[in-house]
Amino acid sequence: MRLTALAAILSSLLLPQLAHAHGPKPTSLKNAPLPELPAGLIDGASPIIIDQQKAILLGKALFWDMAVGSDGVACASCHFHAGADSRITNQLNPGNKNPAASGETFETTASGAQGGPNYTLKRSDFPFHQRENPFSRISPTTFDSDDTTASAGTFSGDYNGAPRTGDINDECTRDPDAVFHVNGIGTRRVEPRNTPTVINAVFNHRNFWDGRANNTFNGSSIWGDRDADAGIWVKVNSRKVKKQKLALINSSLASQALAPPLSDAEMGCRQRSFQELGRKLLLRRPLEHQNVHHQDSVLGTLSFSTPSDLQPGINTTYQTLIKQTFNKKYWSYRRRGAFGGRDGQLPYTQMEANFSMFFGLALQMYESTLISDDSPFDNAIFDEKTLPTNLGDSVRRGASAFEELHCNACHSGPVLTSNAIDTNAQLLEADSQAFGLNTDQNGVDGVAINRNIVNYDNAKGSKFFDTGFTNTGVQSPNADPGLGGFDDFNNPLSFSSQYAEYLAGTANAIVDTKSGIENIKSCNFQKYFASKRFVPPFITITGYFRDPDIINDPNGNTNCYNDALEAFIPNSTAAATELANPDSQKMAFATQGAFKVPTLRNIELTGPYMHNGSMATLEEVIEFYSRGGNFNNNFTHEFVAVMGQIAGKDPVLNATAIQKRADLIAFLKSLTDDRVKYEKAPFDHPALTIPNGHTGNSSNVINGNPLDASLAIDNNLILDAVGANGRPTPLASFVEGLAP
Amino acid sequence: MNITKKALILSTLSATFGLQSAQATSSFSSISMVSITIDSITNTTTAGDLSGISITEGFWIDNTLSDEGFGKTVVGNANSSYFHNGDWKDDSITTGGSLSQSFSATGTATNGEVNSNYFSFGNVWFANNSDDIYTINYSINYLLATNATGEFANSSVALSYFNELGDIDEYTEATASTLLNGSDFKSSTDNTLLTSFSLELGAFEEDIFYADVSITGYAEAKVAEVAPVPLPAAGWLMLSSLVFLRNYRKSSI
Repeated sequence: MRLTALAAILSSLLLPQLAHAHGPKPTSLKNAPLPELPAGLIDGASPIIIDQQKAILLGKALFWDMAVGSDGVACASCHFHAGADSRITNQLNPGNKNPAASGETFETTASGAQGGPNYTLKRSDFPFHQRENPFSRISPTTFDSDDTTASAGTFSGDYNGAPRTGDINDECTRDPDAVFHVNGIGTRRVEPRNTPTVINAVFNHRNFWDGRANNTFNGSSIWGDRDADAGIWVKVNSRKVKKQKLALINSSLASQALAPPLSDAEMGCRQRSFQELGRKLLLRRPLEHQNVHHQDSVLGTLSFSTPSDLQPGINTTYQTLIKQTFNKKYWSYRRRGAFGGRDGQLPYTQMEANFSMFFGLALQMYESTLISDDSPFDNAIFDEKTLPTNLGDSVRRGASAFEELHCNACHSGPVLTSNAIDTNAQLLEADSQAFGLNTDQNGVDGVAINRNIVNYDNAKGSKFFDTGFTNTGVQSPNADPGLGGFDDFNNPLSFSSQYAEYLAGTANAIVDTKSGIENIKSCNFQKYFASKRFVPPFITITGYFRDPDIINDPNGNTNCYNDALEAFIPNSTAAATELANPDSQKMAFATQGAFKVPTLRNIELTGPYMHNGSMATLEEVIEFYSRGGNFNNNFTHEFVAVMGQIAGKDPVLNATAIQKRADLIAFLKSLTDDRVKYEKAPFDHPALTIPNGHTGNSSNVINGNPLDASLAIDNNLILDAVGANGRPTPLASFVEGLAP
Repeated sequence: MNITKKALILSTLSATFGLQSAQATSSFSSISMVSITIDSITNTTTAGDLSGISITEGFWIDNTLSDEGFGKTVVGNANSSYFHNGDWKDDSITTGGSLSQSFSATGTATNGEVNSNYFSFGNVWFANNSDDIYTINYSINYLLATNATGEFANSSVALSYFNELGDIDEYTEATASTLLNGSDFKSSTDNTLLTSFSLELGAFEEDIFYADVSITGYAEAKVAEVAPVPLPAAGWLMLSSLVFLRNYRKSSI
């Protein structure tokens, strides 16, 4: 073979990888389309929601209402600060996603404190993984903890009932928790993962760090089509009601909303149900113990407040709002026999039985309004390189470095996350240059951003990964499985695993039936998965399937990232064989320890960072990437190592490296929307009293909580009601709240 | 019903329960009046021959349906009861004939809570037992009123009507809460729901028109205080029914 021919062949093998290295650039969020609304939600002959504005109002009331929790915890109690949580006391979890013994015990903190329940974090406790030289991947580890910084929630307990008026606390049998206590006095439990912001979360294809908040909303659980028992009750006539499947796509926020109120770490007592929560709330006035600003952008028209006198509550009831918001076929059936009930109580009503659907959809409608698209970056003037020209040199250099270092491979497009699958795809379908890309490299059906939910890349060898989820090596992949975990029915959370099992011929392999896994085109994978491309006989291919193990991809070869020679899949026998091979380079996965790629918008306000809340500042995040991650493992994305370029040759003293890090942070801060920073509409809110640790410290607390004498007395953080014009002072960053 | 009459009824309800509202007592009261009238029957095959049509109507309560939630739960010093008076007529309805139901419920809590759920059924069975074709025009008239007073009470009375053939499906309700409107009132003359119907029955065809009423109420009073002796429920019902009936019959005839 002539040398030029060989070079051409080799270059054709390499080109796709070189091409995708450029990736989609960050762009303005202004006018970016929301994920497509599911059919029948607000349109059609008999839509589920009949009044969108009322739905938003209902959602905002529910999101901020302390009565939603079993002991005064609202959804907003952990999402009150730029949509996230900035509290610093009693925010530690022992890392209980870790199956090792250390997952049950609190570690000594980096500052040498004992940590644990009711501990107040200090600046010197961060980061939770430290190196002698923070910029060096080979530098010795000087500190590591699998504890996480998350959010204090409920005391929990065993659910017995809930009052329908007055007291907002459920009736629970409460005892000090085995883990969350100080000297035997119960403290509020803390979640295992850091609280992400709800702002812009509507763009996420799946929510929660591990993606378990299904894209498809089934009306009664977080699991979408995976839950065979899920369904909602539909009135046929006044004598007949039927349970019906619901499958609303692009409704991950509704799925997500159903978890916290029943979680015994977040908001609820054990054995609580949404039927019971509905019975507790329906007759109540929303926010009945929380002031509502007369200029609240959503609730103000129903507020009792005046400019000189803030008053609690709004002038309606939850029951009334549900009737005004939702189609009557979901609540007007008046008999009760079909819905079950508790002993000694009247059986549930249809409205109580469907309360989970009302709750989920209303919260989704409200959270869909929480879009921060008015940052300096959103309003910038961009040049032909899609770099901002009027935000100063540092921001411009930072935006360029962001791309140069491949941050944008995961933090892609206007939302700065590849998890915004539908929005990014819509933008590309409307304009193939939407992200400043060369159409030849990434067309409408390109792979870096498209509707693909499964990808196949050459990170640490050839591996499948779910678009929007990445292992960056923050922790050992064994410390928290993330996307590599399983649902309540023992199905894998990841789409990648489902696709592989599907190819291997496993029955009922696809449990997310609306995800389109079976429609994936293999020629859209970033790296060849199965190919008929000619390879000289002296080259051994181990990374993808070849003849005679491949068959035509039934999904075709049009509009593909790769050409027709890659439009193949393995036959089921070959796929099954490779799937059973633990050392396979053809069908391996990068899902273990992979987490949702978070948006970077308003990132200066939403610390602590990472899924485990282990970093307090953006500087620590940059250091983390500078050393190529904390735990370089078999599932880590290859670009994490590339980001070590941030460090430069002498990261501490090298002026170029120092400047580059500063530029990156300047760019990240240009993503802050002042409306978020000053809580202007739509980010205004009612008053809220948030549990903020307990009286005392991590060594001593005081028992005698009104909920139960065995529990510690709460300290509270009081948020005043804020109207549409916002607050006079800006929100502080997380680190600003930390003592040295 | 005109506004003056409506105001009269609501003021009667308010006055009745106003006696108790200053005390730590909570009460609800709901009433429904429903009537179905056969406005005309026409044999379009053989003029004047109505022998082939039969119409059977009835309103009833089935208080054994506890599995369907019929009944009440009571905690402490509280109670609830219902009152029902409905007609049943077998194949005896002719043009101009009508069938009526009065269905009401009350509940009171003075140091406790009561949660109640009562419902009634109404059927009109139209059967054409001949080869002829009939056109039947009929209408439904109703009045729903409810009232909630005291520390905390919430009540509603709802009417659902639909037919077997599936071209009728309506729902209306009156709701009251001590947090919002203390009373509410809905009547067939006040809203836009379809209340008159035309049914064409071919040879040996039939249809059933259903008119179901349900009454729910919740009352809660957590502070035990001495309350004046409330007007007995039956006495209140008698008063209010008289007012309703007087107005209803005027509008339905």
